[in-house]
This record gives sequence, C-alpha cells and structure tokens, in this order.
Amino acid sequence: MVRSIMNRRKRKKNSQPQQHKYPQNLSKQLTSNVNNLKQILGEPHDLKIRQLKLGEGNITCAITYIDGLVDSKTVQVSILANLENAKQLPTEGKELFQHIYNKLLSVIHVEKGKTLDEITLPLLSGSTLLYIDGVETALIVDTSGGEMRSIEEPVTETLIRGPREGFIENLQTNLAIIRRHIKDPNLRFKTHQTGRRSKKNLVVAYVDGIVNPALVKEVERRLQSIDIDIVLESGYVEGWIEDSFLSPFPQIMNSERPDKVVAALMQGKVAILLEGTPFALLMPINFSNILQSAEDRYERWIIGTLLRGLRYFAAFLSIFLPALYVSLLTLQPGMLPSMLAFSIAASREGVPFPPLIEAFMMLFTMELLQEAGARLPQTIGQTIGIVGGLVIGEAAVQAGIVSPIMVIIVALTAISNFAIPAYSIAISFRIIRFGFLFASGIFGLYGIILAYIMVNIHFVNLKSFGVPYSTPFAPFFKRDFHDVIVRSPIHQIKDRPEYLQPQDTVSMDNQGEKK
Amino acid sequence: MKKNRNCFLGICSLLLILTGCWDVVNIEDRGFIIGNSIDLVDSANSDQPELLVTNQIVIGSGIPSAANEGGDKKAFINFKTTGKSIYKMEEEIATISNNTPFYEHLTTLIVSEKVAEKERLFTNLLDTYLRNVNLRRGIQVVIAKNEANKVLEYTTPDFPLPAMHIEEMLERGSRETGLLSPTTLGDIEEYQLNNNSYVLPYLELKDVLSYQAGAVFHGPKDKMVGLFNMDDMLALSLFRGEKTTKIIEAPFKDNTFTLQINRLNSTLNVDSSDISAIKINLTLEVEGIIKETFMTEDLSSQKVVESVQDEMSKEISKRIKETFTKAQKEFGTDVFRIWQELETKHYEKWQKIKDNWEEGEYYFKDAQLIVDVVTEIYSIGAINRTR
Amino acid sequence: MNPFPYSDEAISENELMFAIPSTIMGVSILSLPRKLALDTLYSDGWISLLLAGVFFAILAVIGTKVASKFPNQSYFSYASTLVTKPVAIGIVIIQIILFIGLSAFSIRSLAYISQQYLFEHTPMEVISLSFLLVVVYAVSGSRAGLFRLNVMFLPIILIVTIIIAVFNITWIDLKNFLPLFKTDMKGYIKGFQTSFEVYIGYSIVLFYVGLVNKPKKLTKKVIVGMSIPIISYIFIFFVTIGIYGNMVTANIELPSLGLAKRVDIPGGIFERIDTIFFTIWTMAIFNTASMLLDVAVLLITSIFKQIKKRIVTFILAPIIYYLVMLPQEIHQVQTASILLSQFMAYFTMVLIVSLFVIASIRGVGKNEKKS
Repeated sequence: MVRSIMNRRKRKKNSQPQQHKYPQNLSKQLTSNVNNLKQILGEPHDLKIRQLKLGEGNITCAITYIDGLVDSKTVQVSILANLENAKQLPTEGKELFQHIYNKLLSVIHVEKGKTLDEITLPLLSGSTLLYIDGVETALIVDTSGGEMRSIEEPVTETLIRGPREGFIENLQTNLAIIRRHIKDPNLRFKTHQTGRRSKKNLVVAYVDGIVNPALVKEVERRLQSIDIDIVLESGYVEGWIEDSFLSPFPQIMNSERPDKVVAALMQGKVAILLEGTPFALLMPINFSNILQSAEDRYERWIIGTLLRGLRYFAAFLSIFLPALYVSLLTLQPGMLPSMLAFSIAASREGVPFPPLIEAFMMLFTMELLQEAGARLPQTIGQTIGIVGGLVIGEAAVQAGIVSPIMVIIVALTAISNFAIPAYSIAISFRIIRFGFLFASGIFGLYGIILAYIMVNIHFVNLKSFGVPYSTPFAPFFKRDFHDVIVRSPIHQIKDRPEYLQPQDTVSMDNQGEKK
Repeated sequence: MKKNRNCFLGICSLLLILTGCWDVVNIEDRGFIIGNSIDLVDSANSDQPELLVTNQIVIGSGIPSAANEGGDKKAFINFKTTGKSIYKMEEEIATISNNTPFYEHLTTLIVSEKVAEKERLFTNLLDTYLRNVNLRRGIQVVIAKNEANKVLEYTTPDFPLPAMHIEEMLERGSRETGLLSPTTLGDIEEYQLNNNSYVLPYLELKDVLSYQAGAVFHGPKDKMVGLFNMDDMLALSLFRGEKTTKIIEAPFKDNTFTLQINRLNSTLNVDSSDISAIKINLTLEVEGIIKETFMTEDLSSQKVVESVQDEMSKEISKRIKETFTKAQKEFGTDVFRIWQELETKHYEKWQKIKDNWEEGEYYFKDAQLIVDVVTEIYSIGAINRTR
Repeated sequence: MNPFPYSDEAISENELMFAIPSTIMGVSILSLPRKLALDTLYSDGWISLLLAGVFFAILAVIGTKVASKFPNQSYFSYASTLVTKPVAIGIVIIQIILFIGLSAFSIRSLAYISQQYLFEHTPMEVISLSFLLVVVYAVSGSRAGLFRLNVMFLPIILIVTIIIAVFNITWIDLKNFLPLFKTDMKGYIKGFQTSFEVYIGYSIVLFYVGLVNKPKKLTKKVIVGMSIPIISYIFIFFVTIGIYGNMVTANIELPSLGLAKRVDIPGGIFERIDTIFFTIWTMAIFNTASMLLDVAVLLITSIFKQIKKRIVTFILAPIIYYLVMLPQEIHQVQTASILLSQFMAYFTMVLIVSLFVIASIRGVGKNEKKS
C-alpha cells in the first residue's frame, strides 16, 4: 500500500508541472498594476475595479475584487465608507498606505502583498485588493463571503435522533461547526492547498494530545503527494491517499455529519475537510466502523446495540441472501424444510431460467432501478421506485419469467442494503454480492464459503493508513469490543479505541468514577 | 497490492471459466422422493427375494396452499419398480420419471410385514439407506400389515402427501398417547449393531390408516417375531419410563376409571448374583390426574382416592408383568433393554452372559421380574363425583 | 513509516495462541471419534485423547522454550546453531516435505468429504483446485494476515460447533457413556497413538515463536492454545458417543459430521445442518492447510533467503496439487495420512526433545541458565 503512494511520487517527478507563475513584483504605478491584473485574469467582467481619490493629496487608489466571491456589504461598509469618510489623511502615498493599513479598515484580516502571485490567489478566494498609487504593495483585505447554502440536514445520512446540521460547501462554516462541538484548544486545523489550479483549501483536523502523531504525519505525507490540477470533491483526495485503490472496500470514510466527524476526532482519528464539498473524510477506519451509525450513541444503549445487531444482520443478508437462495435451489435443496422445498419447486414450475440467471437478472434490474432513481429528480425518483419495484416485479411474476419467491429475495436484499448506514460500503456490498452469487451458482455453499474466505483474506491484508481493516477482531483488541458488536452503556466506554493507538487512551478523566 | 490483484483476478477468471456447474439441478427439475415402501414379490427362491419398491414423488403444484387451490391434481405419484437391489431400483426411477430423483427429503420408509419376517432381509435392506450419506438418519421406519405400497396411497383431505401424513401421525401419536415413539433409521442401526431387540410401529390400513400395534424384532435372529398390541405398547412405555403423557384405565369395583399419567419415574435394579435367575426390580412412581370415571364414589374422600391409587398400581403392575411374560416366553426378546442395565452396572457379569442372553442359553428367559408401583393421584378433575 | 506498529509483519502472542488450535483442528477430528471408538470401549476414548493432548502440550511448551532462547531468530538459524548447519538442512528438508504432504492431505480430504456431502458429479480436481487457489491466495499475502485469519475464523468454528452440540443435547443418552473405564491398557495406548494425528499441528511453535513480537507470557499462551483443541476434541467426542453410543460411532465414517446430521433446528428454517456445519468446518480445514503450507514456505525461505515468499508459494502450488491428486482412492489417502502423521509425530517428538537437550547441555541461547 505504501508502494502505491511511492509510485505516484515517481510519476510526479516525471510530469512537468505547467503552472503559470507570476513572481513579478508590483509596480509603483497604480494603472499598470490594475492593467497587469486585468491581463492575468483576462479582463473578466466579474472583476470589479473601483478607483477613488483620497485625502487632500488626491492620491488615487483602487479597490478590486471579484463579484460574487466577496461579501459586498463588508466591502461597502468596512472599506469604501471608511475610506471616503476619513479625514486628515496623509498626503504622501506611503504614509497614506500605513494609515489605511493601521486605522481605516474595519476588517479583521488584512495582509500586504508585494508580488502578483501573492495577490491573485487571495483575490480569487474572495479578498479585496486595495492599491494605492505610488506604493508597490497592495493591501489584501479579507472580505470573502458571497452566496452560500444555508446549513441543512444532511441528505445522505439522516438520523431520527441527532443534530439536524450538516456540513456545507463553505470550509469556514464547516470548521466553525466543528469548533462549536469541540471547545478544546488542542483542536488543530492544518491548512493545505490542493490542486495545482484549483488551489482549494484543505484542512486536516485532529485533536492534539489524543491523536497518534505518527498518523498525522502519515496523512500529511500522503496529502503532499497529491498532484493534480483540480480537486473538485473530497473523493479526489480519497482516491489519492487511500491505501489500496483496487479494493472494493472504502478505506476512508466520508460523512457530511459534523457530529460523526467530531466523534471520530475524539476517538483519535483524523478528518480532512475540503473547500467546496460538504463531505469530510475520516481516517483511519476499519470494517466495524463502517457499519456503525452515529445514532447508535444517541439512543439508549440497548436500542443502540440491537439496532447495530440488526444492521450486521442486514449486511449479512445484503451480501449472502441471493447467493444462499441460488445454492439452496440448485445444489443443496436438501437443506430446505420439506414443505418449503415443495412449494418453491411448485412456484418455479414453468419459470424458463435457472435460479442463477433469474437472480442475476433481477438483481441487475434492481441495480438499474437504484441508479435511475438516484439520477432523477426526487419527485420522479419515487415514481421510478414504484414503477420498477411494483409494476415490473408484479408483471414479471405474472408473465412467469421469475418466481414470486425470487422477487421477495431481491426485495429483501435491496432493503437490507438500504439499512447499511454508509453509502460507500453499501455499494461495495452490492459489488461483492454478485461475486458470491456466481460462486454459489457454480459450487453452491462450498463456493460461498470459498468466496467468504477470499473476502476475509483480502480483509486481513487490507489496511487503512496502517490500521488493518479487520481490527478489532484481528489483531484482537479486547477493550475495543465495548463499542463494536455491543454498544455498551455510555459510561462504560472509558477507553478510546486501542487500534488507533491514541496518546490519551482514556476518555474519562476519573475512570468513570464520581468525585 | 499487485499480488492481491493478480491472485484475485486469477481466481475470479478461473471460477468463471469453470462454469461447468456439474451438480446444478434446478429445484423444479428434482423429483422429491418423500416415502419409500418395500414389498416382497412372491418369492419362490428365498436366498435372493425379489422386491417391489415404491417411490413416492411429490408434485409440488398438487399441494393445496394459500395461493394454490390444488384442485383435482394429485400431490404425488408413486413409482413402482421391482428388482433385487434397492439402489439399482432407485436408479431406475430416473428412467421413468422426468425428474432427477432426490432422496434428501425422504421421511418415511414403510416395510411390509412379509419383508420384516424374512431373516436378515430387513437389515440388508437398511444398509442401502444407511450407506447413502445424503439420506437423513431421521427417516422413520414403520412396518405395514400386508402390502406396504398401499399405505403410500392413503391420503386425508388435510394431508395430501401420504408419507408426510404417516410421519406426522406417528409423531403426534407418540406425544399425546405416550405409546412407542417413532423409530428412526439411526436408531435401528444402533439396535442392529448391538444385536438388540426392538419394537417398530406397525401400521394397518383398513378404512383408515391406523397405528394399532408394535412389531417386535428379535435382535440375534434378525427378523420380526411377533406383534405387541396397544396394551403391550403402553406397558413397554411405562416400563421404560418414557416421559410422555399416557392414558391408562383400571377397574375399580366393577367399574372403570381412567388416569392420565403426567409424571413417571421408573427405576430399574438388576440383581445378577445368580445368572440363571436374574432378578429384575422395577420401581415405578406414577403421578396423574383422573380423567374419566364410571363410578359413583366420592373422590374427595382420602380413603377412596387411596384405594383408587392402589387399584391403579395393581393394574399397572399386572399389565407390565403380562407384557413382560409375553416378550420373554413368547418372543424371547429383551425389548425392555434390561441388557443395558446389566452392561452398565454389571459389566463383568454381562461379559460372560452377553452371547447367551437372547439366544443360546437364553438367560433372559429365566429372568424374574418384580414390579413395584406407587401411584399418586394429584388431581381428580373439576368435580368430585357424578351420579 | 507505519503509524501503527502493531499492524506490521510481526505476530503477537495472542495470534500465536489462536494459530495453534487453528492449525491443529482440521480434517482429522471429523473421523477421530470413529477411530477412538474402535480402539476403546464405551466413552473411554477421552482418556487417550486427553493424555495425548497433554503430552503434546508439554512438547509444545518445550518447543517454545527452545525457540524462545533464540529470540528473533528463524528456526533454521537456531537449529543450525544447535545441531550444525548440514544436519539442520537435512531436518528442515524433511520437515518441508512433511508439511507439504500434510497440507496436500488436508486439501484432498476436504475435496473428498465435500464431494460426498455437497456434490455428486463435480470432479474432485475442480473442488481441490479451487480450494488450493484460495489457500495459495492466503499464503501469498502477508504472514500476519494469515494469523489474523486464524483469529477471525477460530471463534466462528468454535461457536458453530458449540451450537451444533447444544441443539443435540436432547438426543444425548447418558446410558451410552456407561460403564466407565472398562478399556484395558492396550486399548488406551492404541487410542493414544490414534490421537497423534489430530495433534500434529502443534509443532508450529518451533517456527513461529521467533516471529512473535515482544513475547511476555508465551508459555502460558501456548498452553491455552493447546488446551483449546484438547477441550473441543473431548467435547466433540463426548457428544458423539452420547448420541450414537460406541457401536454406531465406530460404524459411521465421519461421526462428527453425522452429529450435525441429527440436529433439528427448532422452527425448521434449515434442515440438514450437517451441510452448514461442514461448510463452516471448511474454514477450519482452510486454516490448517494454509498454516501448514505457510510453514513449508517459511522453511524454504529460511534456507534460500534470496527467493521471495510469493514465488516459493507459487512454485509449491502445482507440487501440492500434484500430491493432492496423486492417490487414487480413499484408502490410499488414509494410509498415506496415517503414515505421514505418525512419522511426523515421532519425528517432531524426537526433534523437540533432542533440540531441548542439546540447548540445555550446551547452554546456548538467551537465558544461559536452564529454563
């Protein structure tokens, strides 16, 4: 797994980065500065330039920003109004510059930029530039803002009980949400920039003192190896830094639920948040993490445990049910209770296809329906469900192409798959389900168990940032079991997961004892 | 990672290439054989008798269900073949039926009385069934009077499958009346290997199919030697202390009353000091409820109850003794499994006599039985007496 | 590099503890109750089983002691230290052959049994080839991964065995156990010898102790690891005898599987539990076969250090397949297995004791004082 990262590094050396660099310094002339800027950006119409004369010296200065990226109210009130209303301004350029920098801008974050490079990126990120004629430094005023989606309930991970907030596309807001949950000064946000052209901000979040420092180092090492021009979504990052790109199983979890991210941070994991996407990445993970829902901890522990058990069972059904059905029907009908065997045999009378083909057809149809439902607008998506599920199923049975029991099996499989909390793992289950189906079509139960062993072999060799995917089962961590199959009562979960090797192993200062 | 991929791909592609699917038979193409019956075709030469084997194959669509009215279709077909080797005959089914015969759902094996009475034949027949790994050891074996294949044609409205009907009948019957529990292929194997005597259910088809007796098999002789009637079966069950509900009636001052035995504790003690006259002490503790009386006495009185209890004890011990004598003198079979008591508690003695227990010296014939019954009536029902 | 050192190639004590029963428990136990019931009377076979188990547990502990005198050294290197290099090469080559042979034997038995129980017409070549490929896939992966597989599968196997036994409880006839202790000395010894074949996997301690990361309570773990198969064997034997009695047990080809055949699951979701039981037991056989093959690979790579593990595995695979298909009929398989396992048992026995004696006399290794 390390090797795959290394390969990418090699590739990086070979490729010639074709990046436009503008290391040139700003000139003293305001007009040439403004023209340079225009030229670089290609005179876009969303580049707004406002020139004004200041003070008694009538020094020209220019305010430039990109429309839509800035909070125009801030520009007006905190910059423009201040400048215009200012009195007793110095008459000399440099002094004026210092005066403005020190006194006139009622914006918190102001920087100075001397090269074109230094100023273009902030400009494109939503800062406002302030040029003053005769000064070869521009002021970079952070006015980023503009339109953004309001905080809504996450669509992909809905809970019955739990916070109704989800991440949005704005990084600052997302970080703030996390901060609101963890008011610990040790919470660290390390910013990186990704994408040669997109230059998106990417934040590695972790709690210092809990997290294993070697893990952070490894995450950052991998992040630095990223070399693409644009990072649209956190999936790009995931694809670059995951251990094995061949595995059908996700090795990094994504979530748009802040509470989930916070819980992971407190366990000693690392989160990566990317500008422009509500999906945060969590790492490292193991298989048991992926079947856990945030809600397990919100409900009372008995409910949490039982629901978790139900989900494990759903995962089992989702993978094995069609395969088991096929093997029972073709190779091991002796395992069915007699009367059931007879009635299945009767119901399959006249069905033209063998069970394997029948199951494959129906599962494939189900996949089509799911995909179609996901692509269509929500209102029509529901219609697809009805048309596909009910009409096609019913018609297929009526036409005698499939047996009614097959429809039940496929529906049950699909429902089980929906019960799995993470979409990324649910989709891997859908993939390996077909593998099991074929294995059972050839060898029956023997094929299923061989396929199961193979999946397990893959599991034990798979790692997520060095954590074996099969933890805490193997390598075995006894103490981690209070939150794997059984979700112990909250006051019993004293330890952070051992497989993460956190610095601070105990989540309760007093070992759960009252003072 | 590369190695994983190579292996993974290699195995996957191999699996896909190997789409021979040698054993794949679709469920609707299988002929589920649920019952077998074995009859003896008139045999002149006795060393290799000719057999008639009937295989009952289910027709799924004939079984009435919620979705499927069943209609006039029969739920089964009986295929008959004759020959000398059971296995060969079973293979022949494949040539007559359009389905692949499938034996894993075989539940009942009905053997005709005539077959059972032939020495060693029964054991040899069972060999075929035991040798096949795909057969269940839980197949129920019953003996039928006259023709066994007729039994496989008997249906009732709620049980369209005769073989299933027999299985159900035996299981329910043993649970509710406390008569002999159904005997499976596995049990018989055990008896035969140990050379034990045993009793199998005996079915008779008149107007209805009924379970009226037990067929007694003699271990060393390896054949059926006689019949136990229902009273004998009850006595046998009492002797063995089988924990099922039993109903027994006893006379009381010219009238009779019926007791339902709910708890039964039987203790067997064997005194083997004199092997030519082994003493068997059976202590039975019986607890039950009075279910039916034809008498006028008030059962609320302690005295009456006590005398009723005594009568019952006497009746039980009388019946057990009768049956014991029948088994001992008439058939010479130790179906009471007294040998087991000897083997486990008097191991050295048993080593000496085990070859002469039911044969040779016939020590079993000289054994004496002493029965001691204690009856306890713990409920007399809802009323004290009827006029 | 790796932030989580525990996930490196080194194996932990606990993993070794799991690996021991995983290697030991394989095909042999399926037929063992029959063989024991033939040698001993009534339920007395457990004594032989227990004695043999304790005997091999002691040997395993001695082996552990020897191996742990040379921490972080491969078996080959410390054997060379003890008995000179040429002798060590000879021993190791014999062991490589033995382990390859045993691995092939378990694959062959699995193919045979599955052909009996699950298939009818599927050729044995295909059954064993598919299984062998899975084994090779496992062995060609990381060694730590193999040990993790043991940790994951063993509980499943044990739980399923216990479930089968629990469902069987109603069928147990206590009279089948009686009378006790009627077997003569000869019977016990015969049973003792028969039991060898179900314990031979114990010798993996010799090879893997050197790989254990920071051993602390190694001896204890080895004892626990050895006691798992002993207890489960005795348990399986008792349940089999309790249900079938000595006579029938001795007459059934694979009594432990027959055990599952008897089960009626309440509610009747499945009939024929033996199929499921056997399917699960495939995992146990897989563990055995892959561990045995891994030992062979480990030994080969310890002699020829320049060859990569994966290449060795790929070279061994066709050899094993040839061995698997070599015997024509089941009797040949059985004879070969008895020969192999008996030879293996005595060979390892002598080897461990002599290694221990030599190590003690020459006082080599980490702890100079005799352990």
